Amino acid sequence: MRLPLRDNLANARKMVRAHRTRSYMTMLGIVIGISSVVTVASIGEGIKQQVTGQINRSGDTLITIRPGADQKVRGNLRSLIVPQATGSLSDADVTTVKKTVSVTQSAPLALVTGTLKADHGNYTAGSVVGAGNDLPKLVNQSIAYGSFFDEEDAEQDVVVLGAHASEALFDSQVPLGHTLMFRGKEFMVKGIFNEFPVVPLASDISYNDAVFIPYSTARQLTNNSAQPYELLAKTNSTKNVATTVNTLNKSLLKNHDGTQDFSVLRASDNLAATSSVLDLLTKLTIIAAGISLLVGGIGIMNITLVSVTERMREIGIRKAVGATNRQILNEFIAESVVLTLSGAFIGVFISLAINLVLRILTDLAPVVQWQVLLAATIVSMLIGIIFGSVPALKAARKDPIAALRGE
Amino acid sequence: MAVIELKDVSKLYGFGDATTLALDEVSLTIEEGEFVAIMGPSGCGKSTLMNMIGLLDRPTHGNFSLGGRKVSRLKPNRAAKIRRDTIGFIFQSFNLLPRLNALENVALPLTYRTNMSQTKRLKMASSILERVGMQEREYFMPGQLSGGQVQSVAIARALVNNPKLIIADEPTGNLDSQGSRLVMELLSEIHKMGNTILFVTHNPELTRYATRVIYMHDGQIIQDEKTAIGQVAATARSGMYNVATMTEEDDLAGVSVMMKTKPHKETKIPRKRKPTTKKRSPTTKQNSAKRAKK
Repeated sequence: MRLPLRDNLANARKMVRAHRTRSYMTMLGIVIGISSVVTVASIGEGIKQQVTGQINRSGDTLITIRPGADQKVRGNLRSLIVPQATGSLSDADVTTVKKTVSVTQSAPLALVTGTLKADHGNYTAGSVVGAGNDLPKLVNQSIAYGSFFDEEDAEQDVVVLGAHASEALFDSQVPLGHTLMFRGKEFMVKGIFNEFPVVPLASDISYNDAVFIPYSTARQLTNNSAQPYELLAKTNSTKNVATTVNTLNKSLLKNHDGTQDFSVLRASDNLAATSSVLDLLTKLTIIAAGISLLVGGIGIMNITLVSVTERMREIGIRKAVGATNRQILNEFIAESVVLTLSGAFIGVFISLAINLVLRILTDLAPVVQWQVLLAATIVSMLIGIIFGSVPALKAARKDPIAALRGE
Repeated sequence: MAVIELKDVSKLYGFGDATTLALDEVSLTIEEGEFVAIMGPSGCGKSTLMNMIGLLDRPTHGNFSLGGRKVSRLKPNRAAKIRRDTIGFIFQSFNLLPRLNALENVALPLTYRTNMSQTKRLKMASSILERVGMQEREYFMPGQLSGGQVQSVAIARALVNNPKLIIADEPTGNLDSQGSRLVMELLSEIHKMGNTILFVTHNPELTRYATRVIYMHDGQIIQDEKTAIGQVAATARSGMYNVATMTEEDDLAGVSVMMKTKPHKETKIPRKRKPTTKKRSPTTKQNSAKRAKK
């Protein structure tokens, strides 16, 4: 015995249109809530996909060793902080890793402080990284021009530039053979990396902005004080990763007198860390958006209440011509659902616009998932039904005679 | 067969000293096809009686059956369905929905029926509008129509569900004489089709259309008179309701007979009339004050 849904929705849309300004103002809470949730969720998904893409690039076989225990603390903002340049990893560890049987390639990475000077003056955007010779293979990245270091370059004053660093430092498109000043020494550009895919939120130094010098040169420059902030290693097959991680952990523990002041991480651990940070952010946003939706829902409730009061006579007329309580209830709930649903649609569109702007202006590549859109629709509908039902019940239970008198 | 059968129906409003007796043990039987005019001063319970018969209200005491069915204790939703299927309402203030056009207004009762497509509803509404002579103005909004036209649309709305019973609470109350004529002619035509019609009026002239005239006073039926169509009812013509005047003094004081209570009712229940604003002239107030002094 219900009024067909289509009629209800058509009526409700008419009502919403009749009070355009009021309706849009009321929707605002829902719009803000839905757009923020959808935006954050899609940014998070974008980052996840970027990180996953990165892992797929470098392969599952990449093992990262970092100073400090407990690098994979879940949902901890600490993992957002870039690892410190100095740590507990020593030269001995570098050798140990290199000598481990199942490790095919390995490279230490160490930060070297000092000012860089080239065509465009001082360079501050990136850091100078002392890197092992195997780095390109480990991170699966090719050199655009020139070549990476090899054995002959040990302790030589040569650099390989990240793509962005190259642009920032030199006028020339391909500054091979050009020189830059670092710590009072002249370094010659030996190679330039292709651009690395961007991984936002990753706990890594941006390779695109970095300037690489041979690890041995870095040690020499700093009188052996530059310590690796990261050791990268690769095994020959995916099957070996778990055992290699164990072996590495054991042998490094020996070097460290049994103190676990380092961590051996697999590629997937990195992903876990990233996604747990994202999950935390998403949770926070959902709470904030939830409050916004709650406030929005109360707004909807208010405006429906106003609508019920204004249209008391109409309710009376409808009841007189034979509308049951349920039909009146449905009509008003349909109205608030139309309000919240329109709010959700506007919110989604705003979020799509924000995503587009983010894609253009930042390194983020937000991805909108259909699940998120579905959830937004369902949640907004639920808000409409829940908050709309209070005033709708008031309307439905109204005595027809009193309603006809407009009371 | 009796369409409406009321037996000792009472309706009380309020509690304690503020209790108002709107209907006082009213018994009434209306046969199918009757065209009943109900007259009486404001606050005499006409509207309450109309609402009761129209199932918008429930009696406090007494029995009421509509079309042979007991309806005095109906649940609101059942009542709504009976209203939808068998009763048409016409109001003094027209009560069209201002945001719907004439056609949609007429189709409104049909939207609460199940399984009727919008096209079918609008077609039915259109044919009814044609019957009341408004087919040219189907797409007019109520605000664009004259009073008589608006009431014609309202009549079409009351007719669209093909009701057995039509209840009109002062259908001409807000209309000029021309509009009143139009509306009454329409009702009269509907009556000829075999519908039972109840209407409330203050205008004695309009009893010409009725086959029966009922006078109410203080929640009671004080006169029930069958009249021929085309004749102004005898009591209505005499310009007064058939209330026995008590003393010569009352007559000399010129107390409005309309406002007077019957002597034997005076002592029964302390009555408070519902505060109605309309048609209570200051002179009657003065008069009743005078009477109170005595």
